[in-house]
Amino acid sequence: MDERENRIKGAIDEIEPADGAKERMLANIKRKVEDKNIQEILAKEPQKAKILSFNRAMKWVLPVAACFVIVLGAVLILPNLLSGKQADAAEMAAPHDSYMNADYGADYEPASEKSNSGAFRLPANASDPIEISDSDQLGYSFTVDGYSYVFNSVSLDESQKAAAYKTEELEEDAGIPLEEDAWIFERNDGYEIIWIGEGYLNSISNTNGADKEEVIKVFESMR
Amino acid sequence: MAKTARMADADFEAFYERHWKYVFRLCFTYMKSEADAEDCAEDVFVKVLTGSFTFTNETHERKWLTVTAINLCKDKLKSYTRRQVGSIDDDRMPEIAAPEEEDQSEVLDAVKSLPPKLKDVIWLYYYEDYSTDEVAALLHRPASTVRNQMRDARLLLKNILEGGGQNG
Repeated sequence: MDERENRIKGAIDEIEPADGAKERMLANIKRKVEDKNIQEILAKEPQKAKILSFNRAMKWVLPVAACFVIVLGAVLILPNLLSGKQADAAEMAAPHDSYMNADYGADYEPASEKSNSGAFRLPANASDPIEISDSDQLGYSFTVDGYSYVFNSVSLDESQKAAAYKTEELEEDAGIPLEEDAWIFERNDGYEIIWIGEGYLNSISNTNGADKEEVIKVFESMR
Repeated sequence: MAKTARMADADFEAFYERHWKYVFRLCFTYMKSEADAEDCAEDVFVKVLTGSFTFTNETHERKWLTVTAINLCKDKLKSYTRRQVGSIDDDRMPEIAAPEEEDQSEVLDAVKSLPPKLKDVIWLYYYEDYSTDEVAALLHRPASTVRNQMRDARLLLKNILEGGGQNG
């Protein structure tokens, strides 16, 4: 232990707290601990209060929110549901072929009756005729010279007669006029000819490679 | 001695009895004012009471108290500086039962006037008898830094004491 160390130690050891410092400090320590504990409790209180007020708020917020959702549902969804029913009805009246907008049904003539009535005729050289009619339209598939054709026919009401189709929808659909009421379309998979006659919208199509002239020939044989 | 969770009152009073003067002295060398030293020492014991510490023996207790007290004192000194309270100038020196002998008083004044980071090493090395490496470990400083600080502290003490007419 060198002299410096002795002097430093001695100097520090000479530090004596004032009279009563020990008790005063102890009392202050206990007070500070109490204060700290109280502060900790107080720090937790706002959280508890927040949770309580949140829970209390939820007691009325949730029912109000539920009512709001129900009202909103009634206001927004019900009209849509009702109009949806109307739309469904319209859609049922006008299925698949968008360009037709035909009112199927009312003037529908059952396939067998129609075919029997002579409103159309299959080509003389057609073979393997199969009726593929459904509730909306008359349909046949048949074969001519090895090529398969599908024929469909739907009735048109008065407002959907030839003029409207000729001037608007059919031409917009990139059809090439063949005759006054007939158009030929080059589809991705073959040719289709659509014609209007006797209040019916008819079509014949081939998808297995018949060329344009052959499809026109079949069409002419069915006119 | 092992303490878990919060110390019981009886345990704490024995703990306080063992260390209160030591902690006060340590704080006093940093804070210089008796009131600040008491306040700082109280805060050290408040930490003991409100924290959950496990002390394995009395040496462990003393080490913990030393490091905690040093850190608390430094924090307080920093906050005094920030608040421009005038911190630790001689105007705030308390009426304290200072050493009787002139020589001891001057040495203590010299120690107190050291910058805190030098005071740390002086306290631990000379008063607590820790080795340089132990001081380095306690203060989380490299041993070489502690050695340099020891050298600086000795030089400063020598200059202060010689300037005051004492021979270092």
